[in-house]
Amino acid sequence: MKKKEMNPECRKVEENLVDLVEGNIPEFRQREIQKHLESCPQCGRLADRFDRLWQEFSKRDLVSPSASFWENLFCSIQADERPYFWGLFISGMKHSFRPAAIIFLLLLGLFFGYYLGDIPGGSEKAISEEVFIDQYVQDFQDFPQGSVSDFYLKYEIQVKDQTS
Amino acid sequence: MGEHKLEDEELLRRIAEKDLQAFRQLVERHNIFVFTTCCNLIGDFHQAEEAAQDVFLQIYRSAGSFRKESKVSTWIYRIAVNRSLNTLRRSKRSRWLESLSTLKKEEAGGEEPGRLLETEEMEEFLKRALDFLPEKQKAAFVLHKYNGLSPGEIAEILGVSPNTVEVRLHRAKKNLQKYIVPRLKKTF
Ligand SMILES: [Zn+2]
Repeated sequence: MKKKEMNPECRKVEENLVDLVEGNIPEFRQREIQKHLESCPQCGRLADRFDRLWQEFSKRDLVSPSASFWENLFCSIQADERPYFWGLFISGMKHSFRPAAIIFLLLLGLFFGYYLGDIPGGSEKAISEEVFIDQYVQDFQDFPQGSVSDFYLKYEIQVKDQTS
Repeated sequence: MGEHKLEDEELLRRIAEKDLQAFRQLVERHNIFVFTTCCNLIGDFHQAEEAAQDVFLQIYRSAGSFRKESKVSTWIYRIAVNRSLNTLRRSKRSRWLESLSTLKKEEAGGEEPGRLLETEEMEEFLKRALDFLPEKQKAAFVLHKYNGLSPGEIAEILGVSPNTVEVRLHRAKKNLQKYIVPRLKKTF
């Protein structure tokens, strides 16, 4: 089917609608187009609808973001700052690591030194004076009868028995 | 634009020192303009909000690197435009698929701008008309029509000459006319 040829005046209107509604056409051209619009209902209606639609672009107001915009942004900032904090922490650690390690090892040495010093060495048993008398001195019978040493030993055992 | 120049610079200096109060002031001063730009360029409220958040986050991070070669506001809006155009590029494929379904809908006679003039769907029609534009023309048109900026101000933001902006604006308008007219005529 052969396409219907468009009226050149109608074409001019169609091609210049934006300039027409924005007033960017020389006055004499504008008068010509206006004259055509009055005589051509098709173009008149098209220009009218286009004008109303075009005005919508300019009518738009500035848009506000949601009420929680700042709150959300603040959360993002905090999340953003976290690596920064840890970065500072780690770099701080790097600088103070050596003295801190020295102090730590010193304290560790002191602690173990104190702890180990209280433990009897090797297979030897730590024996209190009391146990020593009980287990060893009582069985010690090698002093000659009636000697000072024998007398002292018997005296010690006697005192010990009385107190316990 | 520009009326807060000195204050903005001072705020930026403080933000570089991680002053959150200063940052909040800067956000409150510019968030509507930034959000309007993101919203109209991206065409989706939630994506625009995400983009606007990113814009201010970037400002917070790089406040110290502001070189004072332009106004602070120009710098901020440039970040907003670039971030929005990045989002647009990323969602190009999904928008292309969406436009296919729109085309089918239009072919079936389901969408008529003449009828839309009376309905809430007008917004959607205008959004689609804007999506029809190449991104550079769209950026110039949005900043001019919705944000009310002059070609000179837009030129500063986009980093091109005012003449280039004029050309982009002219082409954008002609392209919008090309999109709208056949759809309007369908309703007669
Ligand atoms: Zn006509």
